[in-house]
Amino acid sequence: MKYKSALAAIAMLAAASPAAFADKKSEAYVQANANSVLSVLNDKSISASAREKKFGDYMNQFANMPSIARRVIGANAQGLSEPEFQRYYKAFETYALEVYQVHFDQFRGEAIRVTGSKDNGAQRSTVESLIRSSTTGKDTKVYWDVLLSKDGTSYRVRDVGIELGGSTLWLAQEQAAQFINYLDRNNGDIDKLIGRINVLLADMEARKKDGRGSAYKG
Amino acid sequence: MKTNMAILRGTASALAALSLSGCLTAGPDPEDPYEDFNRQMFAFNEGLDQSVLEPLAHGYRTVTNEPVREGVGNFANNLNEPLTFVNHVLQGKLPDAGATFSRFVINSTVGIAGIFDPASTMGVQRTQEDFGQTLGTWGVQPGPYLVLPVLGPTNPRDLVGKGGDMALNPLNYPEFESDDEIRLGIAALGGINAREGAIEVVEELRNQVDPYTTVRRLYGRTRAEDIGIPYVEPNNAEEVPEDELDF
Repeated sequence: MKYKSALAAIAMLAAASPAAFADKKSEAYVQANANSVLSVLNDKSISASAREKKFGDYMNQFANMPSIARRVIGANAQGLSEPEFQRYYKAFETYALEVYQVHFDQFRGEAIRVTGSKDNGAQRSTVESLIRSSTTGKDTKVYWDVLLSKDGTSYRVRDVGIELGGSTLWLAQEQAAQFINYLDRNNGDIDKLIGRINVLLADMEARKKDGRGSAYKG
Repeated sequence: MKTNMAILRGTASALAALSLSGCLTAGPDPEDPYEDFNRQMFAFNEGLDQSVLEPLAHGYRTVTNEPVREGVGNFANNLNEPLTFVNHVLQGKLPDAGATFSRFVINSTVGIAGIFDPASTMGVQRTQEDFGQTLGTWGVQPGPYLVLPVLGPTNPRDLVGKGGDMALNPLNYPEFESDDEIRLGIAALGGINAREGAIEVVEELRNQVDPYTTVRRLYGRTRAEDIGIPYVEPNNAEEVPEDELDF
């Protein structure tokens, strides 16, 4: 009887604390795909515009970009018509890829080493990795918030967290704070947000042309 | 009378911090209850920066070279070491206090009044502490986020801390001919030097969708790190909506 009680207690503990388990499949997904994304940035065999295109294609496979676009504008997404969302998404995708590219660029030419993961429920886990920053020469902790699809067949990255000092900067979450505040200050007017994004994109383009480089230093 | 100036300034700053939150009307956002006021001050500071400080910083960059700016930065940092020392002691970090004391002695002598930084070469690395951090390590909560004219981002704890810094810095007490003018001049030079060093960072901040929000979050995160409190991002607490799993 004692043996059975002990087994039952272990089973109950295991069921009550799913967060204690690592998720090897999510880890493998990040290991393979993050390295593909980073290798694109170092691919000198193709032109800068081809590299940007390839980076965008990989990011679209690796992350659920439309879902991120909706999430970073919070409740405002619900009130958008499909044409409004598409106009916003076009600006968001270009902007987000530019910002992600600059953040990832500090890891150009380096390979990530997945060091572990933590389950956050049946469909979600946080994968931890280390990447050497070519800017600082030090190992930087990078976290990947990974989702498993409802049908359990595919994975997508939901957010990327880069450790800075003692804290973690979650890129999509940082964008969400800004986008939602911006919309709140402008009565939820999505066209104002699109306008603001386009101003920033025009500035990025001007910087590339006159050789000043990106304003986003990662 | 002059010896009391630092204490008076510190007390005034502390009183301003304590009374300020009472003068403002709190808004609905618990993270930033005085957002309307703060945004107005942020815009004012931006205008001041773009019309005065930024052009000065660019001019300063034009007429100085990297070694000169590094020397000015080292000199200004060295003058802050006594304050860091006092705050290390108040936080009970005696080994750090000892290291800071050594840095001050080495850099003030071998480093020619702090213009050079031989202490770092010897492996005694610089740390920086202020009274706001000391209050934080004592468990004092920051209170609401505030943006003040000229001073910029702060909170009641850090504003009281600034007052404490003026009162606690031993270098604010010696009296000599034109001491106030000299202190003001050194502070102005250190400020322009620091602004020059931040030209690119400020440019990056301005290229955000909402620079105000970025600065607010950055301030909270940086101060928490300075105090040694991990900045908790609520990412993992967030529930994932069902439709996010359709892919």
